[in-house]
Amino acid sequence: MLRTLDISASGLVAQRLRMDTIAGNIAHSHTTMNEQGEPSPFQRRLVVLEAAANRHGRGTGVQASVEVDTQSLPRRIHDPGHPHADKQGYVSYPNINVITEFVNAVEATRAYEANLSTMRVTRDMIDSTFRLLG
Amino acid sequence: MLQPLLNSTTTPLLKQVARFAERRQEVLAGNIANIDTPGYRMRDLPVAEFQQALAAAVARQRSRPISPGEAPLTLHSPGSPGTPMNLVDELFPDSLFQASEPRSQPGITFQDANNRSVESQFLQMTQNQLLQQFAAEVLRQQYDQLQMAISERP
Repeated sequence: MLRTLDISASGLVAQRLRMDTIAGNIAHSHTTMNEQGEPSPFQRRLVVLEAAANRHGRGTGVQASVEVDTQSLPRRIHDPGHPHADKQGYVSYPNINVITEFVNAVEATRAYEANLSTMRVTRDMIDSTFRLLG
Repeated sequence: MLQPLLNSTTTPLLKQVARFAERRQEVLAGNIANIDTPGYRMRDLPVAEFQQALAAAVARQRSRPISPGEAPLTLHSPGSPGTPMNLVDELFPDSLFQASEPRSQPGITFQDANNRSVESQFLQMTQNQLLQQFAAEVLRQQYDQLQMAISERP
């Protein structure tokens, strides 16, 4: 029974990581300089979920890892007065769609709540088992 | 030592029901944790097979009732052959507690090859929880009655 709580906890961790990543993406939706001070757009982060390796026939948790999206091209906007503009006068902005991020945030929130509800059910079941002890 | 007392009536069956429900909860929790995992297929325990095994076990208990009064209180070591516990437990093989992906999946498969259905998962989880609480509560009452008989106090 306590393993069941671990599984739900892995779901909570994964969804929280998604929310953190989404918050970072939105915060950096207009960042045009990297940590080294070079004009380079922020690369969008995404969370990759996979079912945790497990003994066959049991419930399985989830594993989450953060990956950098290197495929999407930056949005190029003509703004010659911008300090990070290139020779042609274009500024490269991160390819972050705030609406997509918000939709993902709603999904992550709901999935987080679903895992919480599962934990509550499991806790009630553990309670009723422990009451057998009197 | 008290095998005839503890294994009479429905006690061993309720034990199996509670065990099944707790294992199933683990599988359902795994489904919820993987609700956004691409390619994950919802898993479940073989519920219909378990119900059949339960029905068979109930029928067997009925055909040869062992009431605590009839059976002599002998010094059985737990698990020795011939005790009622073994007769019931052998009807519940480990394969009943192994999760698998059901062949006929009722839900829709999404673009990420996951066939999530939060509603059906929570419905099954609620039913499962009620089953487990029922088994635990009846078990508790049976133990209370035993306790009452032993202590001769209500």
